[in-house]
Amino acid sequence: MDKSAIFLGFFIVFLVFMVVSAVVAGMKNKQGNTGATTEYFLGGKNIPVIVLAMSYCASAVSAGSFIGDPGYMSTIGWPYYWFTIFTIGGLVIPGLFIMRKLRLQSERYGCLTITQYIGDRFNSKWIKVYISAVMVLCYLFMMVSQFKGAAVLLETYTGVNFNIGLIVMAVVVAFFVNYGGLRSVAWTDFFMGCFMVILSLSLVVVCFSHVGWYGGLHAGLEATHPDYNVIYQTGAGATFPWYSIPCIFLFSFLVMFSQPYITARYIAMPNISRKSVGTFLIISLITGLLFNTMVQLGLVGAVLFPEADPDYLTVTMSVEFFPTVIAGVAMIGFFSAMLSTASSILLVCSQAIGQDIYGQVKKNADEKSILRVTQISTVVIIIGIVFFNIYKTPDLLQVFVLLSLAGVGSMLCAPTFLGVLWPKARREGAWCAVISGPLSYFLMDTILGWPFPIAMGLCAVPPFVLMWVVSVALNKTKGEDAEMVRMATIDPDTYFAES
Amino acid sequence: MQAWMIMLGCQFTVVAISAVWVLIWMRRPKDAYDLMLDKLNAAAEKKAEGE
Repeated sequence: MDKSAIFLGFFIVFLVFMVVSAVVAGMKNKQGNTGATTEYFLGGKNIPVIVLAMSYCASAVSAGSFIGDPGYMSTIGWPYYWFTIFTIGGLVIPGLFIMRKLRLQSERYGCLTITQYIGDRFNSKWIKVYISAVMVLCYLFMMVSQFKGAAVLLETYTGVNFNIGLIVMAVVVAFFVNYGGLRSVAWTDFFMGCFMVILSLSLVVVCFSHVGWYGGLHAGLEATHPDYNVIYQTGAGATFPWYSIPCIFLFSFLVMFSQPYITARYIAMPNISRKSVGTFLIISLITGLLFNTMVQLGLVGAVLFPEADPDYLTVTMSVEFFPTVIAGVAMIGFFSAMLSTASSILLVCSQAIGQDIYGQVKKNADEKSILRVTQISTVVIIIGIVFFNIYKTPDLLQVFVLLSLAGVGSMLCAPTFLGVLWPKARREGAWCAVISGPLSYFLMDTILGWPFPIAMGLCAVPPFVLMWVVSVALNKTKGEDAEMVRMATIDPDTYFAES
Repeated sequence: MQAWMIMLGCQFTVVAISAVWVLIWMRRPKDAYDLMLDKLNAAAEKKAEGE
């Protein structure tokens, strides 16, 4: 049987699985009793911890670790790996400080999304609208690149035309997100995550054995790309100088952690006890480590397949090294990586439009109409993604991903961290943070032309500084906003009396 | 020392610190936040059973 036909068969099974899980999740949403929006946006808050943890990692990792990051690494070398090193810890450690308080505060405010939390925490409907608008714009770029990646992948494996593959996947993802909400996204992420674990382990072992493990990799790079065998770059115009390392740390622990499609899982956790939070974080750590090991395959690909397209090195290696059936399973892993993140982001963007823009602007909007607008937004966004991909396909995938992450993360990191941890943080400070974050990134990256690892990390600093300075100054001159401080303070003596 | 040794060493260090930190945090005695969350969890379970 022709290889392409086998791969197409695998892909059809994968799509059917997504559709079935959406239908099952949608039926469960209808049976749930926590309210239509809570069922849709938070899975009724009864999704098991292991499913949420795997979903957390699968969404965070995305096509980045499996395709984009190895591709980028194959053009830069070991210095790029600092992103991987710090991202693993950055997804876990801040959770210890943030998770429980965020959950207690969001229960008090009745929040379903991180945008809603920031709006309620700082008592500003317009901050919700602003954040939602910027987030949708930034994430649109990321989704364009995820879908492009998936369509090119499909064409590479099965021969299905790019445009047709794009439209098929767009329709399936739109149905899957619209009908099932977070429940279908989380459960499918879980199963996709399992495929991704199998893919990571098998592809890393096979590819490294072909190159001669780390000794062979080092020797291969010395022969072909000796400038890759360094931990930071030197010389004028270096993208990863030594001072990019602390910037990448800042990016991972502040900017990456604050992505709404990641923090959505914290609000959705059914049971916030030390045991369940710890379990969630440990599972995230282990699966994150496994997935991120794939990034090293960029260097293996640079040695073994120097002529291959950087964005598809891992795909090339899976087709070259695996028997057809195993390559088919690997293909499912790649699609899982892309579509899990694309669906999580799509859900967050639709939520932002339905809940945080429409729900704020339209007075007395009921749950049903919010859900309807959310679902219509999903379809409109998908149409935009397909249009953009057909008429203005982006080049290197990872560029768009990084732009989106930095834009949204720099906007949200200060209001999230300071909002949770500092009851005296003020609304005016939050406004300064959400405006200065994306502006800082734009200034550093585009106007000043700083290397992207430095811009992506340092763009988190101005929002924190501004939010702190403005809040302290206004608290001193105008006095504290007593009501806001009271609502943000988690006091065991008064919490339940007031909830 | 080769670059891969340093990078993988750093990765191992970050993962080990993270894992140990989480495990120690998990085993610490309950604080006020834990008690509040227990109450919330219990209330949510009661509500789910009642309906």
